[in-house]
Amino acid sequence: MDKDKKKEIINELKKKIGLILEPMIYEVGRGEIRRFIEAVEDDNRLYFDEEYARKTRYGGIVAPPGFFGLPLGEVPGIGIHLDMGILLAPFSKNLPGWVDIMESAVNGSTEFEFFKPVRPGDVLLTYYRVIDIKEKEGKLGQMVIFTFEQTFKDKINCLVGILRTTLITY
Amino acid sequence: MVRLYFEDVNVGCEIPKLVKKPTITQLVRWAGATQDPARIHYDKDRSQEVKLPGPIVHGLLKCQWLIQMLTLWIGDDGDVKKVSCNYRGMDLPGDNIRCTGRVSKKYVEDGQGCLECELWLGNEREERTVVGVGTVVLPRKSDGQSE
Repeated sequence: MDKDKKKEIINELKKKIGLILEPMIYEVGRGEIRRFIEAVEDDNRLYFDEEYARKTRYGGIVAPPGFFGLPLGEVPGIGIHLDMGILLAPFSKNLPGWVDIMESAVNGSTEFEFFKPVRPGDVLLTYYRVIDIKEKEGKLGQMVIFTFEQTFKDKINCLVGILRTTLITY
Repeated sequence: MVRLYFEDVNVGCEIPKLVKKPTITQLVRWAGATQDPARIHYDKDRSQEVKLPGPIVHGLLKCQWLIQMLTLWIGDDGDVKKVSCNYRGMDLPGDNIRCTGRVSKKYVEDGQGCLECELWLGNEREERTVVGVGTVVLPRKSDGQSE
């Protein structure tokens, strides 16, 4: 992507810093938890064995900390890293450019806070926010650091978790 | 599983290590499980295009392994409260990845027994490709008794 185009897209997102978008609402599926723990290779029975989980203080299966379900947009095949682009799409003529920028972004940092366990069948609301966009000169030239925040709440409006992510593009 | 109590653990205690040897298959599974389509994690050509040595392990997956190390250690009666990770270097499929941690602070907050732990993860080339901090709560031996 040429520099001017990238600059234009980044400036567009800068205008959205602090804006809290309409939440995405979705149900956490048992199969999604299963696929997640299989990918991690985490065989704690608490996450898949109902009989075992019933005897724990949770009283049933929970998702491992770190899994909040899959708050996907309605654009098939485009996922979490690109969510910000999808969510901004209604305001943006630049969705393809977004996909391009985010697709080659590397993860700079992750910050999780956990408040409530996530259970299959839970209906969660995810609120997205752009916290910050910084441009810096790095070892590999000009880099842009995006900080996003996802806040997860349940149906009774209790905080379930927070995920802050920084993504870096060059 | 032996139940780990707050009173059993002190500053400086090491968390049992967790070892991983990721494959491309695992990265594809993770990409699917988290709906992350970024090709730098499974497509050699794309990785080279953006000047990476090859497909790289997802940062979030490495963070999840550190979380797994914590949950294995504290068991079902402990809670993970916070985990943060800074990604400093790359890990590649086939690497021998080691997740490590050590208790750095021990304190009681709102009646809960909290432990803050330094966390890190690395491979045979680089000792710390991820550096992080985790906070867990362990049951106290006095829990359930009147104070």
